[in-house]
Amino acid sequence: MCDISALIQRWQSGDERAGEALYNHHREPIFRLAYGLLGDAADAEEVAQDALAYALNRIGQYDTARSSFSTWLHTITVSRCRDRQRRRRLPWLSLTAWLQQGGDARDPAPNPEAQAIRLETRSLVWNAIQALSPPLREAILLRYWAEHTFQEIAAITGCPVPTAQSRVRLAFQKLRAAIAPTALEDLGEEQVR
Amino acid sequence: MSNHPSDTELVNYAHHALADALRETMDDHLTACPRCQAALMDHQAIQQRIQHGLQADLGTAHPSPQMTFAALAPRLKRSRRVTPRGEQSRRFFSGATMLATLAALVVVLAALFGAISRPSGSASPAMIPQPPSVAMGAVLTASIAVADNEQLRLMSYDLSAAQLAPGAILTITLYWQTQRNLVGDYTVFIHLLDTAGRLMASHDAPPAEGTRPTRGWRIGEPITDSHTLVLPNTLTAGDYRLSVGLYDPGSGARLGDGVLLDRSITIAP
Repeated sequence: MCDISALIQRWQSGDERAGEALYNHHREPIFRLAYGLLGDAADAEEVAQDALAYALNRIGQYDTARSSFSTWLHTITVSRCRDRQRRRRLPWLSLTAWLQQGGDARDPAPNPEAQAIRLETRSLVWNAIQALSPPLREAILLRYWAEHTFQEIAAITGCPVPTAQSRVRLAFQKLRAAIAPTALEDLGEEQVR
Repeated sequence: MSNHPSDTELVNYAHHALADALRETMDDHLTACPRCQAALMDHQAIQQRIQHGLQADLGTAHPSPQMTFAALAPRLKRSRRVTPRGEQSRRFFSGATMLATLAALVVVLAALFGAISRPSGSASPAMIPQPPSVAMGAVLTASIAVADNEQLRLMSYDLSAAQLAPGAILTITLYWQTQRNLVGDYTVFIHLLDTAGRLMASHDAPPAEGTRPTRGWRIGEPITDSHTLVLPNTLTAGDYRLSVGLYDPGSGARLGDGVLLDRSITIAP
């Protein structure tokens, strides 16, 4: 029994409670995906509301044969996050630059107190992910957080499957360099053909 | 495979991103090469670390209380459920609105006529059935602690309502916690049973719609897991049981004592 399908049908037929149930069911997961992609809770909340409003208003465009409802929502959310990044030109730091700075994610407008709190409350993994380029961040979050297949990641991000695979691999290799720099040394040069 | 695989190949292998033929070759090599086995384990350890890091940061992130459906509702009323046949839909809704207005007028007139023609002194029946007292948003919280072999606990739960109408939607939020690393990915079941124990409605899904598989739960980490159960329109009024538990989707075997939560639910028309 697929309750989401039933909720969608009921929402389409005008049942407000079904819309609310759909919203409540996806509210936190969509917020979290947006938060991971944007790195800012306030932005993530706005984007999540936009994405959920879009999905509920255009529920007729959702095609159950093409993807799960979550995958469709993730596609909308990723698109909205890209819009937000373009519009606000959110600063993101390349991993190379971050590592050159000693591994500290520096705020371009540093507030020492805020930065200290942020660094205390954020894991090394989180900071390293936020330092990835947006396409790599999308790929790694969709794979590791949302647990999508490569086919789904390709569909969500609008790229070929091999590109989705490459992005996940590149993101992993960059994260590995950031969170376990000795791992590469342990592998040894002869490991690489 | 005479040479060791490259780092790229190993990473792709760890991510299940190799073609079948290359994967089989890699399987053979890994079977005989302790060094590559160790490298693969390193990769897998880093994968786990990334997953745990994400769960620690994202899994504990919550939107503000201002992010609600009520806040979104005004944005849904103007361009609601626009489909490729939007124009047609708008015409339909416009016609439907007119029909609803006419129907309401007929009901009011009929009620007035009934009231006038009813003999004085007779009992005054309710002319229009009152809506059931479905309290979406009312929260009932209870704490229980049922442990299974893996020390998994359903710490508490929230129900959107304890009394619902047929066709209503029940939202149940489960709060889990594990005391040990779990080896399996389990599925949550939510069953609505009648007094004879017959299944009337059910919802089976991995926790948090698959975003928080049990194998990734960290010891002591609170896991919030929401589910919705759509009640059939055909339910008759009466008392029902709501049963919640976990099972192994591979074997179908339920964990622990089978049912971690068993409570009554009233269906009232």
